[in-house]
Amino acid sequence: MEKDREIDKLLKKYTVEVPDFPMKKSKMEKLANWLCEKASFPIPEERITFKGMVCIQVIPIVVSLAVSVWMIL
Amino acid sequence: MNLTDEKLMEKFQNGDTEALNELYERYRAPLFRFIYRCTRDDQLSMDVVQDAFLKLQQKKHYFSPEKGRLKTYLFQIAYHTMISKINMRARWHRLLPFLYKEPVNISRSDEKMEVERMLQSLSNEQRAVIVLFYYHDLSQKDIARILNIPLGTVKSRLHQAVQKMRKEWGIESDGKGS
Repeated sequence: MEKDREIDKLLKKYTVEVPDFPMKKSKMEKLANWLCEKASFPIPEERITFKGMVCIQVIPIVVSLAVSVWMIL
Repeated sequence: MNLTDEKLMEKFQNGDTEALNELYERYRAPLFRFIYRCTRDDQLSMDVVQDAFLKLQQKKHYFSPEKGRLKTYLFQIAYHTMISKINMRARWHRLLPFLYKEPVNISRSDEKMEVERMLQSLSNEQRAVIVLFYYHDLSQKDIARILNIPLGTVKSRLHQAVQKMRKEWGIESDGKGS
């Protein structure tokens, strides 16, 4: 299959400049990648909803606040 | 060093790290351009290229010239690395939508932006095929191997993408070349 000449001509206008970067990542970049890597999670991903995720994060804060208020009172 | 890619890879497999550096200098730019044209993300593109060469080092003995060209092998590693990172990013984005922002076009000419917009209007699958065929002069057979799809699917995606672009750009069909 040959290239479509007109499409080829138009596509060639989209040039991309390549920055200078080394082959090896710095230790900081490796650490960042490791932190962002997906870890195994006990709950199947399909079961986690946005609301569920918010609850997991918010409930400990609410409980802590409630306990603090109760202790003050 | 004016050795072929396969010769350089053989030297690297035998422990010559200079050969790896030479391969990096040859393929750093083409791989970056491939990933960038698919994703429009500088940082992700650099990340993918670096990870691709890391994988090449880790799996250097998996490559054999009988299986195909080194260029095809490298693009295959880069493509699959890109897909993994995009999928991972999409998962995080579903959970924490504020984490990632769409890449922003920075000071490009109108013509470039037009072509960029045109490429982005294609499906991910069509875009990959177009970029590999038109920008990297890979054969359809090589593209099929890189993307791990049948040859017929490559032809079909190429044809559909070209037809779409011709229509969007108002180019009259003359039946040539596609």
